[in-house]
Amino acid sequence: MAYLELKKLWKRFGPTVAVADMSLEVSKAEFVSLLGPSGCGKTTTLRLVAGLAVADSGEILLEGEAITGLAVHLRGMGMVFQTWALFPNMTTAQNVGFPLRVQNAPRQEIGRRVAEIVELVGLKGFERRYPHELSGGQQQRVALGRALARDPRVLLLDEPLSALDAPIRRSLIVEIRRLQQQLGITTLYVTHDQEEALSMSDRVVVMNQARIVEIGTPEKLYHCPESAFSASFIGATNIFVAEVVDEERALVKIGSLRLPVEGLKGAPRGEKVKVSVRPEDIRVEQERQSAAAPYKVCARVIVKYFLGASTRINVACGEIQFKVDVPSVAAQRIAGGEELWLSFPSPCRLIERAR
Amino acid sequence: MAITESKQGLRVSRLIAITLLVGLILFLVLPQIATLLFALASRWTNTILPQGLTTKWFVTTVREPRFFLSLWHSLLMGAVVVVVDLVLVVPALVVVTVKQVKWRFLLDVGSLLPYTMPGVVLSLALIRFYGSFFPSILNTPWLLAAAHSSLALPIVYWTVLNNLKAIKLQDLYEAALTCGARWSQILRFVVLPNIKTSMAIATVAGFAASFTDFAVANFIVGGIWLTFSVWQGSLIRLNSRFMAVTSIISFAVTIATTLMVMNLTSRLTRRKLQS
Repeated sequence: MAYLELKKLWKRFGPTVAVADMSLEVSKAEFVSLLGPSGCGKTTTLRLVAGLAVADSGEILLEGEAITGLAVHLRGMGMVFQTWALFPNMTTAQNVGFPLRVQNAPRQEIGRRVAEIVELVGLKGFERRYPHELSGGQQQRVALGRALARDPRVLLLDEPLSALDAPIRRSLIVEIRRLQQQLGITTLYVTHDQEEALSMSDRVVVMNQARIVEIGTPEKLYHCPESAFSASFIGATNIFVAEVVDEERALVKIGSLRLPVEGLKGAPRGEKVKVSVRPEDIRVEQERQSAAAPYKVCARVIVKYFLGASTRINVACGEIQFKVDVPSVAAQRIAGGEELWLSFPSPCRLIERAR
Repeated sequence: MAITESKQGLRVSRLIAITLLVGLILFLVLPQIATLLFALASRWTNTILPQGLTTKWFVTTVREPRFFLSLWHSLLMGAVVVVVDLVLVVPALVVVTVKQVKWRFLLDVGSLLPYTMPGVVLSLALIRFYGSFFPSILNTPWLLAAAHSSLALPIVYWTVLNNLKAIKLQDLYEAALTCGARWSQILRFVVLPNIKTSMAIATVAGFAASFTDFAVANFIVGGIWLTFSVWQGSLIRLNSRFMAVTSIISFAVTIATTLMVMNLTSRLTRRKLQS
């Protein structure tokens, strides 16, 4: 039995459908991210689970018990908001202790738990500081501490890192994942940032236009996406509409290039399919060599841009354009307009059969 | 060269700022000082400053039997008006803010209505309305309380509303709910502590609006339930010194209220810090 279960949830705001036919099962202690572009319904889904919004239809079950109509304060969820929403009149310790205070927990118990949580989220020494006296990262930790204070049944995180700069965000990604695993809390995490979703989650729910597009592990979604949307939304990729030219060898034709495709079996010759190939899966040679990979094509460099460890090069092969990632050290030797040889050591991935 | 010019520019802008500040302070304080001097002057005819000082106008005014009665009436009325307005406005605003009620604009417009009509017209409207439905409260302090509450309502409404917007109440409310807090706990622990400054300002301003009103009070209760302003108005015919004395007393009452409310607010803050 799933620990948290969403069954056919629908939510509309006037004529706009915010969540459509949403069904999801989350296991105990699992970290699930809802990933998608702005307005795809991920925050609304989280708010439905929290009880801050009411579903038009559908059901939410927690440990097999329906909580769809249960008041927010009785659901036992802990939530971290995008704006953190710390109480400005309370210190760190008071913010963290608030959920216990409103439950009329004994003063000693509150003090003990607050000390424990403050230590856990790395805020020892900041107990008497007010939110405006803390940095963004510290405020985020307070919000996290407050959400954890009363051992929530589910931890809900609504884009909690979106207002932070990159280095703090990266360190908090590690921190949140560490805490979640240490405490074994079932977590629903909303983000539009694929890096956050892929690096923290046990499973990722890709959403678009109020619906679930695909659910899978980060590895599966990255390497074997089942939809063009997932393929393009998660990481950089090259997506082509190709024509099946050889059923036996599972070959497709993209312009003048012929490439093998994984999972193409059964597709008749002439069928149009959508295939993807990641930029890091394409090899680049400046001179044609008798490499092991048989599928090679000549392409001209259009533009290259530095990404750090790698450099992305956009190349054109006739009318077809590819994005290719090359180690930055090697990319220094490549000039604009130069002709390169591209090889495809592993097959492309089939992501959609054209209808 | 450029550095010298920028230093000069800074000096000029500082001078302008100081001049403006001093000008504003003089503009606000000079009339009060002049009134105080007039109230204390034994004789002041053709000189810039009084020719002598005396407390006799103060003593005479305070000995007037209607002084304490009217002062008590106005203090009581001010307090009632503030309590009524805060009790009406704060919960209503919290509800419409957190529930994001779309027709809040009706409240916004409604709260401005008392400003759109003269006090006399407002009084007449109230008299006609209550005269038709509750004739028993005509010419009573109850009707005056209703009228003064309407007058002070926009002040309380907009002061509190701006504070609620500034603290992003909707977010705090939802955060408190997910922490397991009930409505009453949210109001007590989250809303009220975060709007206490605006409530203090609204208290002072609402109280002052009621305390200093003459037109509405004169129209509704007149001499039947004498307020300080109405009594003050009646003194014009006797001696203009009494008028100056009562103006200073009125000013002192407002200042005292402000200090009292500020003191109470800071005490509450200190107590919270200690806890």
